[in-house]
Amino acid sequence: MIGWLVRRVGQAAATFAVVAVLLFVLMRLAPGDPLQRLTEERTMAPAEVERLRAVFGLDQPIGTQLGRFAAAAVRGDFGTSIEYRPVQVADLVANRLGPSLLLGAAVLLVNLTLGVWLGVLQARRRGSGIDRWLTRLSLAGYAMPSFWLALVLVSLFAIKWRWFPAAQMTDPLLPDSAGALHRALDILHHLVLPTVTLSVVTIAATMRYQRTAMLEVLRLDFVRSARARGLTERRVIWGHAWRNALFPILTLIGLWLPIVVSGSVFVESVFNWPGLGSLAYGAIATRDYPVLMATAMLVSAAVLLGGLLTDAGQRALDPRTRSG
Amino acid sequence: MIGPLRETLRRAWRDRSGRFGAIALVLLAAAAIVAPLWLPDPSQMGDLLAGATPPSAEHLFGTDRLNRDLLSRVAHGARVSLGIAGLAVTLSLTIGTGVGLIAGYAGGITDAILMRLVDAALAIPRLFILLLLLVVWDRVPIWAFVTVIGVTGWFGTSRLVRGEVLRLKHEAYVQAATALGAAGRRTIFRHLLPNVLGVILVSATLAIGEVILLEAGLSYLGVGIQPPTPSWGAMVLEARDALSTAPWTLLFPGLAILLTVLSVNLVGDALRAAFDPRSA
Repeated sequence: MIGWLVRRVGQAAATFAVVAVLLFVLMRLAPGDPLQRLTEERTMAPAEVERLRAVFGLDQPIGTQLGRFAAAAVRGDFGTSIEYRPVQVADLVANRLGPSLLLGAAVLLVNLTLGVWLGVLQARRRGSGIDRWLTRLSLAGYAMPSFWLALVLVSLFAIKWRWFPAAQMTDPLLPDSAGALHRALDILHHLVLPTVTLSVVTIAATMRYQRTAMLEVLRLDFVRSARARGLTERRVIWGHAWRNALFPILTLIGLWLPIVVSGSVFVESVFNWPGLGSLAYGAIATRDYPVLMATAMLVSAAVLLGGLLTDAGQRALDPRTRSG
Repeated sequence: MIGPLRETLRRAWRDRSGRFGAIALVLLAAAAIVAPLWLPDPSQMGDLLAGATPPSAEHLFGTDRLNRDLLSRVAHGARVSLGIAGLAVTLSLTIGTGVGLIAGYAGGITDAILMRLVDAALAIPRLFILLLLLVVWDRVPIWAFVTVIGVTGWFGTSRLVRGEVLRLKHEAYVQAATALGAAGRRTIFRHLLPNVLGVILVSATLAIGEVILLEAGLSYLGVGIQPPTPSWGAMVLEARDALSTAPWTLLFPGLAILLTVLSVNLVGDALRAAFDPRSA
């Protein structure tokens, strides 16, 4: 296991190095350079432009730039934001990480409870009306543009009925004297609509994986013998069968991460949720390349890490995968 | 190949959801082609003082804040959306199939290098690759938009095709062809390509749904199709400023995206189940 882990981590690190090079090439593929935008908007003396180009290292040969970029990125230094100069990109990103993780965790929780439960329900009633309609509904959710769903929920639940706040993570009018519980409830209240949006567009995958895995297990002999022993249906399903249908859900977390991350650019921007997604969204409008680069790198690292954890989890739980 | 393919398509057609998706898709495509012929010009502004008017007999979907006919804009948006999806997916399938065939057939160092690159590319969410490529333009020309979507969509396909080729390479008939002295090109085009068509077809259908969502999303973010060209994503963006006063301007373009993507995915699912009966 240790040897395998070392090899697998090495492989992920190598892939990440290629990712970094690809992203750098992508950025420099673009005509003009990242400073063009800045100089377009305000009149600058050519000498000042040259000075800034030197500050950002844009006057160096491309190979040197790549080397510097890689060396700095390894240290967690992504340079200075062009828009929020002189704030460091790393600081901007660090501030936005918490809210994004909170939203991601909430969506994961919904998927692992409601999604898993619905998938098991579908497998138990295979081919029934419930099974077919749940599949159709979840596919409709999967086909929905997340930004549209977010706006629909805002116009109904925030503007029309005023049940939930339309934006932000906290109520700006909350008194400073509010206690910890009060603050937590306030954040929860703001969390509802973004979580619902992202869950609706992601839950189809969870349900489908759980349904398929459960169907595989339900036809095995040990389930039949558990039934024959007269165990209650609940114990047969959750105590015996479901335990053995867990692996696919592990796989799912790896697959699910990129969907949530991309989806959250849209959802966070609609709800003005102070996470990485809305940071990236802001960086689009201002053409803030270093910020876009850093978010892309971080998200790719998360994707690779998700894959790594999935593989490790499967290996630890399923002896059959160990030989390969 | 033609015989089994027809049998597979028949099996997909027997699937009720697949049939629903196929019919809906044909109707949508027909509407996209025909409807704009007699609907008013989508960029023709009406009475600007009237602004956004709710659905009525004259304007079935109502009008937007520039008093333009929304039904006409949604129908034109279908042309844009389906057209872009069709072109971009064709481009990415061609590249993906080519790379997959080469990697799988050549093997060795070529395969290793190509697949390491694909691994890395797959780790970067496509949205971010597209954003990095698209933000350089103030107004991206439509050909560039299509190309950029096309060249960022082939990584998964190339993996899939490579896997199939590796499997087929050891089949007796491919080995026989090689043993009989068939040239590499002949083996690829006569023996391998026809047999990976099934995999390609399924991945193409599902890719169309993905691209429609991506195009809408990018246009919503303002880096895709630019006004005044009607696009569903940009229409949702315009509706954002009138959530409480003109909710119909939000509803119809969104439903159009939802219905189109759902239909495409239902067809894709039915095809996948028909090609691989175990997965149903």
